[in-house]
Amino acid sequence: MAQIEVRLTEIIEHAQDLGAQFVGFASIDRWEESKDVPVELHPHSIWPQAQTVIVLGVPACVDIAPNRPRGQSNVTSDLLDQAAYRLALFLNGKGYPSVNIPQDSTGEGITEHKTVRVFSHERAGYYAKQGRGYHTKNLVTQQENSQLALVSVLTAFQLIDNT
Amino acid sequence: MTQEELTKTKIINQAQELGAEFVGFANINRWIEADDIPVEFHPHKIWPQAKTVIVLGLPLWLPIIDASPTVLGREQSNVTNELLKKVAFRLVAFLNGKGYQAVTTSSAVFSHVWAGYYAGLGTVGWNQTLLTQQYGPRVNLVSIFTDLELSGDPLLAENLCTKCLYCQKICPAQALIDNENRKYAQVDQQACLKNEKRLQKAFCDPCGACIKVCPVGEDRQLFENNNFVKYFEEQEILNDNPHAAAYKDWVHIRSYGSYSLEKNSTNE
Repeated sequence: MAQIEVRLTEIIEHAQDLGAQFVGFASIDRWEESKDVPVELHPHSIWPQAQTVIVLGVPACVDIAPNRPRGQSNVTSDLLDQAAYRLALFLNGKGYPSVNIPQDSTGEGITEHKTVRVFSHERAGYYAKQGRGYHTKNLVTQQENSQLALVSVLTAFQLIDNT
Repeated sequence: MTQEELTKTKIINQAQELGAEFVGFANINRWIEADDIPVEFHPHKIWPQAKTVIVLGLPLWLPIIDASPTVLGREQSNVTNELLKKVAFRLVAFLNGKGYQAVTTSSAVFSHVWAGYYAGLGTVGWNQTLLTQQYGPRVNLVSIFTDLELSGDPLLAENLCTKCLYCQKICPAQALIDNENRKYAQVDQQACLKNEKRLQKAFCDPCGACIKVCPVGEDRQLFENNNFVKYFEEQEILNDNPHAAAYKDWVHIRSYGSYSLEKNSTNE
């Protein structure tokens, strides 16, 4: 699996083709610098090869979010999980080790675990929205009161300023 | 319905566009000629119109399987299986739309592993999983039967299994039994299923032990993982020190989303 050069714009376009409306990037340095997440929840604690977190999002309607019907939740979860998996597949195929973290990694039916996840997509989304000069395609959060359902891909792909 | 001409290339392009990573073709004669599995499990015995079996596959990521059993592994398995089901369904619809009969099939009545072998996607390992060059046994599969007659893909010339028996050594259910008179392991299905049920109760199935430890697959280089000792020393090291640095990622992943596992009575 030789490494083939991939540009950031290629990743964004591929993710959008797979259905993502928000595509953001956060270097793992963001977790280290901010110190607002326990070290064991940092991406490279979960998977040491991780250099960047790619966050994908689709809109989740704010009106029904607090008591979201299961049907809609499943549709967004399925869409995001499959988009994240296929983006990881794309990057692995190009020689950049990548692993998608499924949206609901809390254990189906285990309500007492629902508040704590192995990895926080929301925190990753927060870091990605800050942008740090990297491309961040944000089609939804420009609208006031809109919320995003998010999912993450951990990757060894490294962000550099001129990508 | 009029039949439109379809080539393997067109079907491969369609399947890959839908999300399949592996696509292989096996003519049903492969089952008859090879005589590896009982006749009642041959595709045309299950569905008489079958002329070709199209096998689709998606890889599983080694770093997630490495930490198994975990809820993350369960979710990964769900995501790939759901995607495979959708791809298969839509490929069936595509074939039907072109005037060919096609159906998907379940692993309860048909072996996707042998189909994958006959379709040239890999070879059958000692533990009866399909070993692929790229991802070893870390691949989920689905099969489609169709009445469209196509040539089969060439079989892999080299057997990828080295019979290292790491899978047997690590199996928590001790379900892989070596029988010198047989080419493949005798699988104690009851022991394997009993262990799966134990994991299901804790929301951390599937087990994944025999596929994570397999040295076959280019993904081991991609994910920089060739440290097999780590698998076999794990229990002893974590018994001495549950916070051992070498296992902190696996321990972290396991500590979320699943219940504690009941003791495995097989090992007692």
